[in-house]
Amino acid sequence: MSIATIGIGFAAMLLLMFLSMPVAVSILSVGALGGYMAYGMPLVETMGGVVWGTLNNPVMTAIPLFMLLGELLLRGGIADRMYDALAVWLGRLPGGLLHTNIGTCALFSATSGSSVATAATVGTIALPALNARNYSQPASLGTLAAGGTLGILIPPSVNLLVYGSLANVSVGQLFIAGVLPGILMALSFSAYILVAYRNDGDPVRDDIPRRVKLGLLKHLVPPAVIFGVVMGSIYGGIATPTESAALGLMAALWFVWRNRRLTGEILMHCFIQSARTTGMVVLVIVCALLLNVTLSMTGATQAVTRWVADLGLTAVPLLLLLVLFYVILGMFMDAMSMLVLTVPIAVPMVMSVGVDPVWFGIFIVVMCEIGLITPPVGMNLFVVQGVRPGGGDFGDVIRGTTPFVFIMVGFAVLLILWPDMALFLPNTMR
Amino acid sequence: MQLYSRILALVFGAMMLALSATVAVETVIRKLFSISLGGVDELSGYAIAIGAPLAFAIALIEQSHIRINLLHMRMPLRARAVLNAVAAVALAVLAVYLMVFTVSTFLETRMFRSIAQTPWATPLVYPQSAWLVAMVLFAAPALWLAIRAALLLLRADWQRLDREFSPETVEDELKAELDDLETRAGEVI
Repeated sequence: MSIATIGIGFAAMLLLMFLSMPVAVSILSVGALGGYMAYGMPLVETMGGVVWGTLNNPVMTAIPLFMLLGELLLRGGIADRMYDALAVWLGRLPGGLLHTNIGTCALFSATSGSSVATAATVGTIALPALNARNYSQPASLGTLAAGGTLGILIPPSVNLLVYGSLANVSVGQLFIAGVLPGILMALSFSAYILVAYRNDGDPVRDDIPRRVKLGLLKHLVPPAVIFGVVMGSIYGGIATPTESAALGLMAALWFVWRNRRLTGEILMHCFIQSARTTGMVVLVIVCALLLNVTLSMTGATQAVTRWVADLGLTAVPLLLLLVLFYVILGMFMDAMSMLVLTVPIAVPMVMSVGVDPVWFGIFIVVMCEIGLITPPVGMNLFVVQGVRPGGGDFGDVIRGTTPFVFIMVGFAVLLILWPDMALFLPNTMR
Repeated sequence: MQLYSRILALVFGAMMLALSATVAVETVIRKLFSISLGGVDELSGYAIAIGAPLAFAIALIEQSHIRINLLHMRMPLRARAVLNAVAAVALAVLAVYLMVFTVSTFLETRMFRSIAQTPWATPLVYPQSAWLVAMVLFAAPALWLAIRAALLLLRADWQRLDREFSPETVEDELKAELDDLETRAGEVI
């Protein structure tokens, strides 16, 4: 198969997607049509056997379990109190509550997995407090939008799970690999706040008694325990990601029950929400894996790797080109679509120049994070604007977020130059 | 339709909770007493195979299957309506396509009396029967919605096609979150 044919297939998929056809349909129709044109009906029939094999996969079960875990923490009110607890502790740093935005978003989204839920909850609690202390609008909104992107990198992350299923990479290793880059990215956001916004907002009066401050820490216990259970059991080699999700889910049920929120109505709400997101994510994964059948049978994967080899690109220039490609694609596409569209082609391509697939998972998720805050399609931008009390100029959100886009691109370059940032922890497990 | 999706969600959620309780117990027992009940992995596989089509159906009814609406939301009413109808039909085709695969896999399993390659050696016909039922439960509403969208298109009822079949926007999702947040805020101590 020639590289031109692959290009046409890719373009056709993009066209269907931008015509607002369901992403799953866009992927599968190109996959099935391509397979049919190359090998006729037998190849299309081969796909049949793949459906059961793809779905009957314990790794995939982690998706609904993590979704349900996140929903329970959110609807059970566990996550709501984190802001108060972090505000009294981080508020004294230069830049004050802006650090709290980053910290709460990072913690919250690490447990909830939904950017919209994160930005909506944290934004609703934070923005009135920020406005009362006269923080500038771009600073308040930008930190919320950027902080909200951390959730897809800090494990447990559904995006990493999706990448793992698509690229056939160990999800446990991906999760562990995401920890250090996630923390470092949050710290680099905070470092920027320290420098750029050190004089922003009214100084925080620190007249809260230490006893009260320590008392507030109890709100951080449930998320910390759940994060510890999930990541500890994976890192310690005790549990697979699916098993760790089950353990986390049990712990979450217990906390929600203690919070007296384990009602039938809330459970039902969690069931519907988690089923809805599971349905939309798993359907695109199944279709992308069916497309993989066509890609491997027709030799498309080899064609792409050969093409890269002919170009004579080595890893670093190729990855820098991919940064550019993903930043542009991310302006127009949501994270999940970007993953399913590019992973089947990009992973064999970068592996042929010696890039580690676990590392690439972290890299691609950082690219998806950038996509969340680059206009015109940057979901977090709209969500933050949407929760703004009294509304205002959308330009404030863009102005506040732009520096973080540059920080993240810089971070991606650093990740390329220092791959051990992601690979150090998983290498200690092997 | 809402009732249908609630019933499916109940089955889906109950299945996932039961599964995680089993998996959690097994993991703890395995670690503490080094006894493995075995087969839990197999059970997780069946749970997602059967749960996923139910989840597809729920996402379908809630109009949540991922569609990129960057251009869609900027188009005139008629174009939006027509694209919605095409999308609904395309999803139904996809659902039927998956169901056909399911049926052929199921028939093959029955013919060859296939057995799972696991310690339990479960005859695959059992989990696959449930899988088949779940796929039908996905394909049925997909066909129903496609026919409905096609009829609306024939009647040139652009307004309803736009209202009922447009992809969920960030604003819709945000509004739902904010409503939920309000009820939560009222209750959290």
